[in-house]
Amino acid sequence: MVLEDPTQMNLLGAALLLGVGLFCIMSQNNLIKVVIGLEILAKAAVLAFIALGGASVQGYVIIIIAIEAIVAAVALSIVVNVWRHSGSLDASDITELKG
Amino acid sequence: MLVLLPLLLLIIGAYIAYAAGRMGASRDNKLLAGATASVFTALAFIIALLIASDVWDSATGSVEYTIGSGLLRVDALGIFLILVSTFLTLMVSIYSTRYMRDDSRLEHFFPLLLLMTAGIVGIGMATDLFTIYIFYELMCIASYVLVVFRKEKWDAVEAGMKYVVLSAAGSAIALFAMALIYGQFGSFDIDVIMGEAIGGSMAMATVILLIVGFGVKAAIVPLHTWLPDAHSAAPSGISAMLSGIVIQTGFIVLLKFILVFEGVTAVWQVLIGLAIVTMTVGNIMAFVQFGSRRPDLKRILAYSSIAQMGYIILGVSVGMAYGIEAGIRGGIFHIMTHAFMKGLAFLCAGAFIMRISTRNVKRMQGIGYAMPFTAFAFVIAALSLSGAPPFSGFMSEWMIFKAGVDAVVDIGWIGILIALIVLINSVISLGYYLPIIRTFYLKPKGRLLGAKRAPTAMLIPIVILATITLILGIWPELGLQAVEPVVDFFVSLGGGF
Repeated sequence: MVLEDPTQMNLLGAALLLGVGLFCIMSQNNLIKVVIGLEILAKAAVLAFIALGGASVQGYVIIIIAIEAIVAAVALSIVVNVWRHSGSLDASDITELKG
Repeated sequence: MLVLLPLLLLIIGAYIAYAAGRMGASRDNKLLAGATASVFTALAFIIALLIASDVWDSATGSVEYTIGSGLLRVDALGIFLILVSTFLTLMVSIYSTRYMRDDSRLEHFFPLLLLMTAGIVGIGMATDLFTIYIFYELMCIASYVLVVFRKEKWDAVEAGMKYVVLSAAGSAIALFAMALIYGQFGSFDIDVIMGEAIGGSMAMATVILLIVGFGVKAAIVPLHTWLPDAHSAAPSGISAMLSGIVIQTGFIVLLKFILVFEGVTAVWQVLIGLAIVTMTVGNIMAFVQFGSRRPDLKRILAYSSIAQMGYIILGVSVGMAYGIEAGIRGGIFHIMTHAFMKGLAFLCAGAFIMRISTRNVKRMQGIGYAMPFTAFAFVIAALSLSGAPPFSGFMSEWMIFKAGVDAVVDIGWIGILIALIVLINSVISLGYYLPIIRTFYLKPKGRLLGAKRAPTAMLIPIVILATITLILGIWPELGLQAVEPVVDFFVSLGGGF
């Protein structure tokens, strides 16, 4: 049984969290929630690290969290600029450029 | 110690450029930050040249340096990346000194530019997958800020928002894949995990996550959607960096990770398929953009970058899948030639935009007479990008074409098909580059407001890059000197050989 093995269980949880994060990024219209989705994705990766590496990955995990904090700060600062320009945080307003 | 110097110079240069920028801002000297950044990049490039001869001459094909328990190693691929990136940064830095003169916050611009390059240089030196990831993030974070640098413009902010969300999501997915790698090998040290033979479903899942994660940065279709926005909204010098080296670095990082999985050979076939889609979609989108009501020069170049990424990925993947040296040589050489010719094209576009304040190609009619040097340099870049002889783009695209033909031995008519698709793509790209060139030399409609010769500080990098594009076309051995060791490095790794 998969669920009896804690490693498999944690990895399953990490994969679910990855799905939640991706769903959050794709489904949410509020830019703050999109950034939260990015953070959930990063936490999924961190959980996967811990599930597979145990205590030996502490150093890696702390560095990852620090990097993700920087990315979140940059993303939020761009969100602030979006708000200053358009007065809204709605992602569906960001449609002027057609990638 | 010498090995570490390019990285150290760029990072220390970032701090000093910041100080110089602050000093310049208070004394109304806008050139100080750019000049400092240019000096440090030039030093880094010169030292990289010194290291290069050591790397190529050494028996092991690499030069090492140990810090504590960490090991930095410059191998053939690393020195290739360092040489191309520092040289392009030097050009962009000289160019931006003048181009960005009317912007404020230059004390942030140049340090970020140097840090972005430091990230690329660090990727070239790392021997540990986690170190690669850290430098990769350094490059990414600097590029997020640089894309949104002109935050008073809406398109920059919008493009930056898309870019940061897609790219950060990609990084997180790649990070998840790294956790799986750690689970399988218990280490990130490339030397330790390289020899391990693996396969199975876990390896497959890891490779898929890696392609999705780093594919965002490498602009593999359908993960390319951020690229046209970000590359056209960024300041032109930064567009040149992004298109010229940053997306290619994304692919090289992907390569470094995938090479660990020698057991999963199907990955190269998947990449060949993705590369063909990427180049075709990129070229067609560029063509459509050219045909639109208000064709945007920088967007056309950005779509063309997607197509060129397709060539690079195709060359390397065909080479690795079927053991064809010409493919790897073409792919890697194309990274170099593309960095110079696309950098040149974006720098020229920046000069046009600076003078006539529009990105619309139709309003650039007759600019060839008002800005002769810049327009002529753009002609060289455009012809080279579409693979016309005798420019450098022709040489590298020819090698990729030849790789497709060589693959006939292994895969029969599919090899011919690949070669044909490369050829057709080259023709499509001529289909939008030639009309742009024609527009430049049509009789001007009325007076082109503000069109006059570009400032000298901007012309210098344009002329240098144009000369290199021409020289590498006539005398490709000069560039292949740096490429050949990389090919040997890949051959020694096995692959399909």
